[in-house]
Amino acid sequence: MTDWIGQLSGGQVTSVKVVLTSILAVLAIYQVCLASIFYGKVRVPFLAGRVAAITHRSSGDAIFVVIVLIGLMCVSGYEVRDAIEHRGARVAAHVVISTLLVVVLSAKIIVLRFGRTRASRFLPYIGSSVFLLLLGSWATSSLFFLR
Amino acid sequence: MTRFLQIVGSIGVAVALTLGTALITGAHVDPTKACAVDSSGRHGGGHS
Repeated sequence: MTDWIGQLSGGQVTSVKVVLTSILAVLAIYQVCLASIFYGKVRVPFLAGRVAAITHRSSGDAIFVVIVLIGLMCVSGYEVRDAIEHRGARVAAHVVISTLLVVVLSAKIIVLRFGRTRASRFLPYIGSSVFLLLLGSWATSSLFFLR
Repeated sequence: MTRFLQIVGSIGVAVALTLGTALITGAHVDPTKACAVDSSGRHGGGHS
């Protein structure tokens, strides 16, 4: 797995992760905009709520795949335990936030696919949590590597 | 037709955001902070 990820990123695992997580952070903001439209909080003449929901769902599926890929890059490419012990609070916060992100995002997908109306009421809160955790994960990792 | 154009347009915005962010962040990654792959295949020098 480590070799495959190294080859896939041309040996620049960190640089690839910085670019990918930055893309995810921007797309997360776009997802919030789309959610505001299909929940009726914002009305724009050029985009119907139903279409915004379709785009939100399809973009979200793509985002989930990329998050899983980045998670695999983290787990296989880094000594996570050593990093937490020796790299300080930033890395520890990044590991905790990113783990929570995967858990909450998985919960959101479960609620979307299998949840009933009562569970669906919590989707805006779960979605907001995913957004904040994604930005937190980006701020504790990629932001450090940008100049 | 309008709905189709809306779908294409909104997904097009997502694609444009993706490409734009890739271009901008790709140019601003600090290679001195990024970690190099060592001979064991593990990465040292930082964590992102």
